[in-house]
Amino acid sequence: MDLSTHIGGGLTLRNPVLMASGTFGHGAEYASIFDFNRIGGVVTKTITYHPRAGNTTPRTVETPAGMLNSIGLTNPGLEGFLSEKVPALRELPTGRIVSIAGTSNDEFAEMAQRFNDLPGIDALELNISSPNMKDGGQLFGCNETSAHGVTAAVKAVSDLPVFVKLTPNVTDIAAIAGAVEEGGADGIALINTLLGMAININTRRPVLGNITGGLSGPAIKPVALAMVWKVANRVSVPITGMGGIVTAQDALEFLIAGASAIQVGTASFTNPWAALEIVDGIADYCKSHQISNVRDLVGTLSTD
Amino acid sequence: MADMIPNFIQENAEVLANEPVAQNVYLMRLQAPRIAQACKPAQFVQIQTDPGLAPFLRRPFSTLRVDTKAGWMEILYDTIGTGTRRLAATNPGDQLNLLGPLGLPFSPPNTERLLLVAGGVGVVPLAFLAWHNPSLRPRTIFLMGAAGKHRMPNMDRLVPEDLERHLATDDGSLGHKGFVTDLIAQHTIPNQTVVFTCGPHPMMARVAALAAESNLPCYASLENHMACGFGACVGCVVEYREAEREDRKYRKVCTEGPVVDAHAIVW
Repeated sequence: MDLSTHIGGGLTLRNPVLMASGTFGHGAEYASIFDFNRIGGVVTKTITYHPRAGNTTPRTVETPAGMLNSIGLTNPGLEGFLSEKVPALRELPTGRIVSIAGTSNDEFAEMAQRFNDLPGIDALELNISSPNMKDGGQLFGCNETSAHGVTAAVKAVSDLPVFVKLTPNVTDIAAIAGAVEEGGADGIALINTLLGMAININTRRPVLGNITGGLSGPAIKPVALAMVWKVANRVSVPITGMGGIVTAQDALEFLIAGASAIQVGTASFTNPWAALEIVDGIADYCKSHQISNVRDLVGTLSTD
Repeated sequence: MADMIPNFIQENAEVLANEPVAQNVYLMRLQAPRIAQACKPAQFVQIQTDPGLAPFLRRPFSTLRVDTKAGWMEILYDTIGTGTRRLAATNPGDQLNLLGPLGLPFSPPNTERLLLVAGGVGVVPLAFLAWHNPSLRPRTIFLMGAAGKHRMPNMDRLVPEDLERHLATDDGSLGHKGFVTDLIAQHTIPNQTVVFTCGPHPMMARVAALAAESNLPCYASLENHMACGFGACVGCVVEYREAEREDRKYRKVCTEGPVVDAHAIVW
């Protein structure tokens, strides 16, 4: 059985399951508990040009079937990442995708360029969708013109496959996806977290230090699935789907809706081996449904 | 250098006992031989309190005591929310899924004397340290505070009997009437003492301030809401007074703690 999949820009992964950005460090930290030979890829925690402390606390709160976070992209900055994280990351026996976020098109491009001659990095994922970054992030992803612009700016200088991660906090995500494809994206990843909030009724204060945060977990899966399906009907580049995936059934729904691969995020917090169980579950499904190639499953939703 | 997360495991544990030891406070014994074998003082486990999605996240619990031969470990918890109420409703024979041991083990730097200051269920990591280091016990003073007698578990069940102990309650129903931190002033603390504290945030802040006044090293075992417990979510951070770089301003309680230098953090 062939579980390999193409996620854009000529990048082929051994199977369609990746670790989502911001939910598994930079990968290598978990080498002692996690077999990276068994997953398709890992997307690093988002890197910004300058080191970032992240947001004030509290940063997380549990919500029904999910959680809110306002971490705020804590990271060592581009130089810190290159010197401290990349040496171990490039040794991981899996697809290695670096998530980057800039505050301007030029900054995105400057960061992207630094990965051109770096063996062991397989692709870039542009985070234009973080609800927790005031000086960039979602600002780029909420508008067709800016989403197109940042994609084109990175594609003009990068030698790597470039994927763009979209925010669901928009009126028409398919229109943004179309603009990103036109800008030259090799693939599209969706969805980032939904803007959310929780309030302590005794203190009448927000629970999160940052007031609002991003909602993730099973609660958002139906929203994510519908958005993947809408985007799949709009673009022809490969889609990587995510949002609340916990089980192989969840993952299969995304593949059928049109995603060529999926990412596991919040589920790893409660079960760090969830992604491996999902790979096994996808294989079991393909076997029992006589599907010899998982790519044959992608986008097979029948709406007749 | 990537900071490697130390090995931890997933283990299905049978509940051996789960009994109230004070008002809303439960002592739970779990048969978890692999985690018990590896667990050191200050380390904790993440327990899935319900196999479904409610509550969605695991809950972190510090380890009170282990018996590596018998294969059990104990936790002590206050029932304050959905997760702990679920735990309180479990019975001997039930199974719970554990991740652990998590966090860095703590052992005090070479010291002549140890002063342990606990508030409520904060007794847990301090007691484990005392159980784990019999040689330290003759040189240790243990101070314990609670709201009242009704909230004070019988210490004979929680800490070694050869530990010099002094109790305080807010309402005076047991021991000193007042805060546990009052007891610090009542003792002459020798210079070579290391202070180790765990309890409510304001209590630990006061302990740290008193230790600083006496120029004593002080360590605090922190707790925080955690999504993962193994460094991935970056949610459970604590702010440090000084950082060598911007991204080190906040550090994770789970993988860089839970025990921290109480003089280094922002209280």
